[in-house]
Amino acid sequence: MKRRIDLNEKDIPKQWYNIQADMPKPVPPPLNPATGQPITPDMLAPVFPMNLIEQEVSTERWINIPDEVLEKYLIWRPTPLYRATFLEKYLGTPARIYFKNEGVSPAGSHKPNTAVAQAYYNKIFGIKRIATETGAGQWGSALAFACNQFGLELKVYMVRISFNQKPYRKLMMETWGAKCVPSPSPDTNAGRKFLAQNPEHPGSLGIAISEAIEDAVTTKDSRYSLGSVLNHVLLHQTIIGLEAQKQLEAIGEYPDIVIGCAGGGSNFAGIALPFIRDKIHGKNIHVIAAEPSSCPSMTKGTYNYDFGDTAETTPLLAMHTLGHNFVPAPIHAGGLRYHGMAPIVSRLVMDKLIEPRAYSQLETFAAGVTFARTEGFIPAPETNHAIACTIEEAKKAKEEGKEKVILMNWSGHGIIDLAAYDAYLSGKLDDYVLPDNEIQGLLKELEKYPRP
Amino acid sequence: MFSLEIYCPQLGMLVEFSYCISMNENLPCRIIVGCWRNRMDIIKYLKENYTDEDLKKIFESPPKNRLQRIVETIEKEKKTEE
Repeated sequence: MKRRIDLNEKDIPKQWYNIQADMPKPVPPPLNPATGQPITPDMLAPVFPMNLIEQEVSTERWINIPDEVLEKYLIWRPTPLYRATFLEKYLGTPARIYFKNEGVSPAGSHKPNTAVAQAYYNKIFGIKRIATETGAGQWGSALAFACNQFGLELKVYMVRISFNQKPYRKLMMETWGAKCVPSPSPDTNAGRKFLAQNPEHPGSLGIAISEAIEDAVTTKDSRYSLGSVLNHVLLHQTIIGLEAQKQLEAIGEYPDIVIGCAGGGSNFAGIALPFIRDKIHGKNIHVIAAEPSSCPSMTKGTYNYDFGDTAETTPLLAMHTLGHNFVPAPIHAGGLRYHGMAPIVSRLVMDKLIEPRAYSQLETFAAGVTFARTEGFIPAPETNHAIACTIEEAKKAKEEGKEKVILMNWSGHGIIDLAAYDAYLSGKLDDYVLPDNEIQGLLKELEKYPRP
Repeated sequence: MFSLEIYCPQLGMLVEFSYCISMNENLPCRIIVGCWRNRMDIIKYLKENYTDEDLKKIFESPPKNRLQRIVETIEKEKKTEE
């Protein structure tokens, strides 16, 4: 039995897989909120180079990976596929669990798979400089690495609360030569507006996005780059699943279940789309997207869906579990809605090619700690959702006495996220409904915070 | 002991409750209910601390997806240049 399955450099996939060629129903074009008309490629030209826009709308099944991109991929790819024998033993499961370790990239996650490709396409389009936003810094650091490889300038708008509290990602970006500023910043109209309201504004992902786009649109030879959600991002990530297919084939295995965590959908799509292609063509395979129960964008179960966008591309959530009468009408209408999922993934969920599942914060951290204590690697908190799902499926296989093959995308390591583990291990994240008297104390405490 | 910290799924880091109630132009984050519902009576908190108008502003309009947000910002920039 092999515990680590490596792929030779020469066998790295030479093409990305575009599922838009095989989807039973196409993703409807996104609509311009101002006009209600479909967003056309030329409308995106101020922010993306045309070669990436072409990939965004392409329905070509296979897209060649340029040699220059492959050359950079070889810095860390092909990534190893591991058999999680210690986790299997701990769970006492007959399932064979495999995980694709995307944490071995320079930035520590799957993100460089698209960052490198995007940097390359910008470069050959004549772009000199990229602007982007980042939350906790995972995307910003991946793009900083990629831009450095291709000699591009990069400016990263990092949400201020994160900029102040997570210095290591910022330092990674700066080490790779990027300029990282806290958002809101004084460098853009959008940033100045928020700073005028509150000079200590903690920032938000929304503000950082606005700043990065404004920067790209108003600076010569600049474009914007995004690390999730868009079709071309998912396309670049398919190298994960394509490699995994070759690695499993080499040992005579094929998965019964494929699992990935899904925030914006890119790492999930990376592992899953090549297998969904097989499923579309008749393979019996179960594909599961594991998302946080706190901001579910796909999960059914106890929730009802509605469709908030006119294109009906993204399932949105109505929060009936909190009680219709209990919730003020405006909250009931959209209080749990989150709209961050990739349209391709949403469409595949609606076509029942993907099963979405939601996991709570506590169960994901518990799964992450179990993984670290068996397999050794400390996962990124997002990755823990996929691990929670994998453990659930492995236990189910045990109950059923079935030797299932489970493939999971281990999307990144958590070495720079240890504060979250500290909070979990010290019991600070426990789900705990406060008694009334404690709520009163809490509310009093909140009086010191700024009010609208 | 109850903590006012939570792992923010959008940012990918720990944040305090004070962030969750102020990051949206000094109003609560639109996914605050999902994040905090197991840890406190967040609905009661919102009802008691915000007007219906505030709540509408936070929750009523459907959220925009990323591409829509990008196009909206491009259009805004075009108008500014004009």
